[in-house]
Amino acid sequence: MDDFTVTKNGTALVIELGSSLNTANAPALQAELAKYVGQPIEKVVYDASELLTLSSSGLRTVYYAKQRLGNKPEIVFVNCAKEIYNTLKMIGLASAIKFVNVESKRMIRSREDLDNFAANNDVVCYSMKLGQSED
Amino acid sequence: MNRLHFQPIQGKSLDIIDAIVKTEEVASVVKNWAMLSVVVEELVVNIVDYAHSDYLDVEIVRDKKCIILRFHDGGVPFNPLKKPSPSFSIPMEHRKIGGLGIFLVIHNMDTVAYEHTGGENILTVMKKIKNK
Repeated sequence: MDDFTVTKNGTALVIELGSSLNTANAPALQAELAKYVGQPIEKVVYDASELLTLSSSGLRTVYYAKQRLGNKPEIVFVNCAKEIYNTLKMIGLASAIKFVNVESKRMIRSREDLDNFAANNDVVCYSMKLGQSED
Repeated sequence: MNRLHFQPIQGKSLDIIDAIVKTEEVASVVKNWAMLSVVVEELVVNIVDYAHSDYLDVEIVRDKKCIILRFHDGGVPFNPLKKPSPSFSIPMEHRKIGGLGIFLVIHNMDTVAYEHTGGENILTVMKKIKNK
């Protein structure tokens, strides 16, 4: 299982990672990124919200994105766990990567998540079927 | 102690990694499991791809204080600890990729030792286990 998805959004590539980016799936990700070589990619976003392990094979995809896509695109890691950040820092990449924390849409996956989100935020959640009136 | 024997090993990296990280000894190191799985991957891939050995033996010793993994292969003598570290002073866009794996191993484990004995490369790594 590749355990990632790549989506092009304008000049940005968004890579949603699963729990691992390693020798099992990094070559497939690099092959996917290769499809965008020559295109005006300005930003490559790694959504690391679920990422637990990042090996040297996975790191190669980060180098590949920076060196082969667009014109040295900005590399962004979203919701990077401390252990993953420490790995990137250890190899001197932390200063070359933009780290962003967001309330990820991937965090809201179930009715329970939605209710928890509503309970902790100033919003009201409606759940209606098509054709159903509010009252 | 757990002892695993793999033969042949060419093209079997993923199966070997999976077998090692799922042993009771490794799986029980919950807090460092992700890091250990990276270390195991780096060492197995290195041996399978570069040692030219037809087998790999792995001994795993786990106690309350530490976990030790010892990798034996019958390939060409090669001390990965003598490999130059990657240069991190070069900007990311100009860096050459290579040497990252063994660098991650050295910096994630408490000790890493290599010896060539009895016609085998033997690489031993140890990680202290924090109970809290």
